[in-house]
Amino acid sequence: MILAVLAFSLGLTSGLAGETAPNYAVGDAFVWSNGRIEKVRSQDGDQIVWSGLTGRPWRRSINFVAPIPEWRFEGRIGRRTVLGDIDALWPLRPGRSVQFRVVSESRPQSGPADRWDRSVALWTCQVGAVRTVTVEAGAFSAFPIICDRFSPTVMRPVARMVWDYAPDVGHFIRRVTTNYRDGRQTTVKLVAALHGPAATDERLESLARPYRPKPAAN
Amino acid sequence: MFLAVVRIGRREEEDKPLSPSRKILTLARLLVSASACVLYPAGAGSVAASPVSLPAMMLVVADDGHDDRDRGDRGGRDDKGDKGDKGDKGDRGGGDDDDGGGSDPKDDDDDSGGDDSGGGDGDDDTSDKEEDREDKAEDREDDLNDKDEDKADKAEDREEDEKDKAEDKEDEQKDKGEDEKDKAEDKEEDEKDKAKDKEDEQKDKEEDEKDKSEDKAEDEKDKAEDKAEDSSGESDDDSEDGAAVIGLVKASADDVSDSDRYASALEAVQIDSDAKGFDYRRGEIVAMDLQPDSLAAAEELGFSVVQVLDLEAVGGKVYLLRNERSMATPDAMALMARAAPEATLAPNHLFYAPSSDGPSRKGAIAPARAAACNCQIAMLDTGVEPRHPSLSGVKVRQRAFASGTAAPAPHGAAVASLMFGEETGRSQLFVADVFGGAGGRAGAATVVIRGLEWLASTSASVINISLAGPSNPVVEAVIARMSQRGKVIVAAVGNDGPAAPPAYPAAQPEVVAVTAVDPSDKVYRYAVRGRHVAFAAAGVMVTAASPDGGYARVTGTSFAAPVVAGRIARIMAASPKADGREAVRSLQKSAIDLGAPGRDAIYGYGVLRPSPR
Repeated sequence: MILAVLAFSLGLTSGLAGETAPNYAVGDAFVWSNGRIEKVRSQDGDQIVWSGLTGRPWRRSINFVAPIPEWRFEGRIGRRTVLGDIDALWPLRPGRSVQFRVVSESRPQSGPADRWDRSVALWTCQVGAVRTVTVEAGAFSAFPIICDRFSPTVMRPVARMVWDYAPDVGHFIRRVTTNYRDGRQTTVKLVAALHGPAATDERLESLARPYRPKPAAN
Repeated sequence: MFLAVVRIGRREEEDKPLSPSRKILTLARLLVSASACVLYPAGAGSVAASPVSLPAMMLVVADDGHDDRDRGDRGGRDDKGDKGDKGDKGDRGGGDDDDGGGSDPKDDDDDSGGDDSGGGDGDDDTSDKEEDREDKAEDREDDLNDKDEDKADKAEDREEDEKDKAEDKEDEQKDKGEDEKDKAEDKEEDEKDKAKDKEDEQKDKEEDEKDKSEDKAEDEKDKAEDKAEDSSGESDDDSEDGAAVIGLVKASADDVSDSDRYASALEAVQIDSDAKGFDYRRGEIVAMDLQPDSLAAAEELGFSVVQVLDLEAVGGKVYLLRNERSMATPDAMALMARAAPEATLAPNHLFYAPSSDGPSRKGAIAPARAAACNCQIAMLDTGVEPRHPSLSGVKVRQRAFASGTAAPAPHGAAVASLMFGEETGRSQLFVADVFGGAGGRAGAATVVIRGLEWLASTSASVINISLAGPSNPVVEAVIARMSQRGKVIVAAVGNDGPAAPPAYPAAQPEVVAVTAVDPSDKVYRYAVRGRHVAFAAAGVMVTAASPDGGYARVTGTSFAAPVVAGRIARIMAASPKADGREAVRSLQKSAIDLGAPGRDAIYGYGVLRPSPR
C-alpha cells in the first residue's frame, strides 16, 4: 500500500521539469520546412496527442527525444519501447547525458498478433552548449540535444539525431538526422508556430504550402 | 577462442525444418567441433544482446518451436517481416533478403556460406573471418534497425500526406459545390439587394436629413460639455442625454443606421481566406485614393460602390466595392489593380477580438492607481464600462462601428483601465468599438477604418490598438496618414507566439509595437517577436477592470500596450509642444534595457513601468 502510494506520488512528480521543459497548449501548431503541420490536439500528463489538420492523430511523449511508441505503415504495425530513464535529460543543462535502449517490434497488420519481429538499438544523448539557431521562424537560443544510435553489439555509431530545442518556443526548432551508413542527412526546420486561437487551419495551410514537395510531373 | 555464428533448425536447400533427431545430431557435432559457439536463435530479437551483457562465450540453441524462428519460412512471402531476423537472412538467400541483404548483396552470399552448418564444423575459422561474419551480422542488424526507424518515420509522413491529399480532394469538391451554391445564392441575393437598395435609398435620404439635424444638436451639446468640463470627474458617454448607461451605450444616429445596414450585410456575405489564411468578405474590395476615371472604369468592369467613407480627419476617401460578377476576390483585385493603378487596394479583411489567456478572478483586487494622466487617449477595441472605478475621473466617449450600440466587453474594459491613474476629471478616453459589443463579432476593415477616422477626429494624440490581424494595405495607409498628422499609434504585438509571423498593425513602421512581460520581466510566452518590437510592459497576470465593475487578472500583449500608451500620453500632456516622436524618444531613454543590448526583437528598447505616483 505504501509502495503504491509512493509510486503514485512519484508518478505525479515524474516527467520533464524545469523552465526548459517542452511546453504546449492545446491548439498550438507547428509548421515545418518539409511542409508538415503538427498540431497539439490534447495532452494527458506526459503524453501529447498530435495530428495534422485532419485525420488520425498520433501520441508521443512530451519528451520528443523518445521515439513514437506506435506506428502503422504499408500494412505493418510497429511499437517501440524505451528501456532507460530517457526523461533524465530534462531539465536541459549543457553536458547532461542519458543512455537508453529502444526495442522496436513490428508485424504485419493482418498477421498473428503475437508474432513480432524485434530489434534493439542503443542510444546516447547529450545536451550541448546553448547556441543561436536561425530558422525560417526566427533566431532563437537553443540547446542542441545530440543523440547517437549505436549498434547494440559493438557500439558502432549508426545514426545521429540532433534536436535544437528552443526554450522560448517550448519545442525544438530544428532536427538534423544523419545516417552514417548511407551518408544521408535530413534537416527539418521550423517555419512557424502559431498559438492556439491564431492557429487556424487556413493560416497553417498557407504557411505550409510553399514548403510542400511539388508533385512530380508525369 | 572460437566464435561461430551457427543456426540450427532448417535446411536451407530444402527450406524445411529439420527433424528433432537431426537437430540433436547436428548440435552434438557442433559441440564437439567447436570450442565455443555463439548460436543466435533464428529471428530472435537482439533484445537481450548488448555489448555490455553479451558474455564472451555463449551458447544459445535455437528451437524450431520459437515464434521468431518461424519467420524464416515467411521470408519470401513477407520480406518486411524479417526485420530483426539477422540469422534468417542466410537461409533465405540473397533473393529473399530485401530488407537487409538487399542493400548489400555480398552479405547474402557470404552469409549463405557462413551459415551452412559446414561453416561451423568444417571451418578452421581464423579470427579475421569470424570477425568479418560478426561485422556482417551487425551490419544486417543495423540495416534492419535503420529500416524499422525509417518505416516508423515514413508511417508518420505517409499518414500526414494521405490526410492532406484526402483533405485537398474534399476541399476541392466542397469548393466546387460551394461555388455553385454561391452563384445561385448570389443571384437571389442580387435581386433582393436591388429591391432593398431602392428602399434603403429612400430611407437613407430620410435618415440623412434626420442625422444632420441630430448631429448639429449633438455637436452643440458636445461643445457645451467640453467647455463645462465635468469637474466631478464622473465618466460620461456618447449617449444623447449624457448619462452613463450600464450595459448598452447608444451610438450616434448615423452610426446606428450605418452599422445596422452593415450588420445585415455581414450576414449575407460569404467569408473567404486570403493567401495567408486571414478571413475577408468575399467579393468586397476596399480601395483608397480612387480617381473618378478609375471608379468609372471599375463600374464598367462590374464593380459597384457599396459604401464611401469620406475620411476628413485622416485625409482621403475609401470605397467599399463589390464585384457583381461573382468573381473570386484575388481575380477581382487583379482586375481592379489594372483599372485603378493609382489606388491602394485590399480585401475587406475581418479583424477579430484579440486572443488572450482567459481572465482569472482569483486574487484580483483593485490595484494601486498610478499618477494622474490628465491626458486624452483613444482606443480602438471593444466597448468599455465607463462607470468602472478604474475610470473614475475620466470622461469616456465611445461609439460603435460594427453594430448599433457600443457594449462593454472584457477586453476593452481591461485595456481602458490600464491607461489612466488617479484622475480628477481632466482626462478623456475615446473608444471606437469595432467588434460589435460583448459578442466579440468580427469587424471588417471598413469598420476599423471608420473607427480610426473618428479617433483621428478627436483631440486624443495617442491611440491604442490592442488588436492584431492581417496586413491590410488600406488600413495601413490610414494609420500611416494618422501618424503623419501627429497621432501616436500604439499597438500590441499580438499573442500568436514567438515563432509566428508579425501581426498588424504593430508590424507597421509608423506604429509603436508593445510586447508583454511577466512580473519578473520575462517576456510573455506567446508574445510575437520581431524587429518591430519597440517596448515591453507588464502584461502577464495583471489586474485590470472587468465589465461587471470588478477586477480580473488578464494576460496578453493587449494589456501591455495601454501602459505604454498611457506613458506617451502623459509626456505629451505634460509638454504640449512635444510631438509624438519626441515623446517616444524620451521613453526610449527611460526603458529598462533587457535582452540583447539596445533594441532587440524580444523586448525592443526595454521594459517600461507604469507611471509612478
